[in-house]
Amino acid sequence: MAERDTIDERTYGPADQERFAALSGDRNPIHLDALRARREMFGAVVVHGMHLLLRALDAVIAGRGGRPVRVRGQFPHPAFLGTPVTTRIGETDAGGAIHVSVESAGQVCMHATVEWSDAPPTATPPEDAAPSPAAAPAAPRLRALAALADTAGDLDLWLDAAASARDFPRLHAALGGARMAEILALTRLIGMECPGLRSIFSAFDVTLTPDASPARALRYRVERVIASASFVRLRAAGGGIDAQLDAFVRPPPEAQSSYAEARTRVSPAELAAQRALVVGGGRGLGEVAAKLVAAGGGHATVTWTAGREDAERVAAEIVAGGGSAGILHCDVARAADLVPALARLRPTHVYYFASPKIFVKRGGPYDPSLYARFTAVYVEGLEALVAACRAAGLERLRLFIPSSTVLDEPVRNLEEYADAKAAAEARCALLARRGVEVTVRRLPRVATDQTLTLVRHPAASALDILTPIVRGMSDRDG
Amino acid sequence: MADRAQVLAALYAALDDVNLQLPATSRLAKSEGTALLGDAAALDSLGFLNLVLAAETQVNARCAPPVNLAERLLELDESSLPATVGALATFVLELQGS
Repeated sequence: MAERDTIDERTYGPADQERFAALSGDRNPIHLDALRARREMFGAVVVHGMHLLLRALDAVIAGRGGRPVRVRGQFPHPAFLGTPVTTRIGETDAGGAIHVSVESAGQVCMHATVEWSDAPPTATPPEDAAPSPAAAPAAPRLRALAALADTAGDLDLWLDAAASARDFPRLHAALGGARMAEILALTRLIGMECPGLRSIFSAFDVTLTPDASPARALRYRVERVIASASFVRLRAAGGGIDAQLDAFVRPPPEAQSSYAEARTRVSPAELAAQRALVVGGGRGLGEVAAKLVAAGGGHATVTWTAGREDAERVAAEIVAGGGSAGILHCDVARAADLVPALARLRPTHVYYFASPKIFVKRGGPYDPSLYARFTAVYVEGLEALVAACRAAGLERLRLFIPSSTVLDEPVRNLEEYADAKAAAEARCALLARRGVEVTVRRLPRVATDQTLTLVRHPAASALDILTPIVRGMSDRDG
Repeated sequence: MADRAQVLAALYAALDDVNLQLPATSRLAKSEGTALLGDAAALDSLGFLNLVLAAETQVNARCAPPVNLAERLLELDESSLPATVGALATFVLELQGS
């Protein structure tokens, strides 16, 4: 084959995720639950890395026959639902190994070096794997990184052979059901068992012995933990598989300050004049702004676009603490729909924390579509919301807009974000000329779900940053 | 103990491994001046961690004595981490010397 031939193109959707989760038993919510995934490090549902690998191997067999005997590689970046994924086969190296990669949105999502055998398919029949259990574990284990050292155990092996043959027909025929059960168990091991809930499957080195007898369990043990890197290396072995697997343990979603903590920052009645609409108040900066407003005696309407549960949680915490809060569905792309609610709520203040995911991988040096995605929220959404407030008869509007210090100190890979924030500042200046009382502050990196990384970067507390801002918004009342 | 040229060869082999994971426009040059951290670097935090692990594998395969490069490197403050390939080579040599 020519260098870098495309051998498969597809776009994964929720049905693909469910089918692979059922087949492999890896039901980690980062692969299935859009609401939970949006609060995690990658910000969206991620395609199982093993799914990418098995599809790629199936496609290689379609082109050249044979079967893999050793597969080693990495999952350097996540592949997301709804984004086209391309599998390419590269050159064969001096040792005869084949390079296969999966790319999406300009990033390499899987790379594997595959040692290949041209021997005929194994005689091991698919029925050699135990059938799927009636009920596989639905919830992954939550293990602390510190507790992973010396962890060992057995993972039962099973397979829905018909589903395996349906989804990976050539690979299943080449390896047999027993090996398929063992390979599929690797993603279940990482995603459900060890490290479990917070895992990121990072790298693999898998040796396959085609004709070995099936095993009842995959035996595993943790070989290495590097706490400072949240890194775990495991060794796993079954009847015909020997694997070294690398994983990272991702940080949990960033918990913001509680309502009780917010009450220590403001006096009980100092913000009583604020009936605040907190756009994006279900998490991050918006969550803290809502708590501060309510802690100061104001009323916070926490808006949500996709995460109703988050907004309900914040409002419930405020109300349980004696504050005043409610929730409102608000999609700034359809801000005109808000006019009746705005006329009823008559907010005095609007805190505008609406934002798409900020840290987004891109393949090229500058992505105009990414800039457009930011400005759709920071500029057009803001403008539409102000228009909706006007249409609702709100004559006086005090608006807070968070900008960013990346405009003062550029950060690599945030160029589109910085440009969009600059455009938002310019639009705020125009709004001010049209009589809107706008406060814009350039905020530093703040610890939120948006800024979660494996290696911790210094980040300010949202409560520290927002307390003077929310108080300052009341200083303008009069 | 390995000399600087041997350590650099091991680090360049690690760069080969990591470059397989990067799009063509972001690949790291095999040069002492190549940035690993900071605004000029092509690696994100996950990419940097993968490079450290690849570097440890390659250094221990090619240069004696073996070192726990990943543990030693990642216990440093972010501001103390070697920011270029050349600085990483120096770090490895100091580790082997100690």
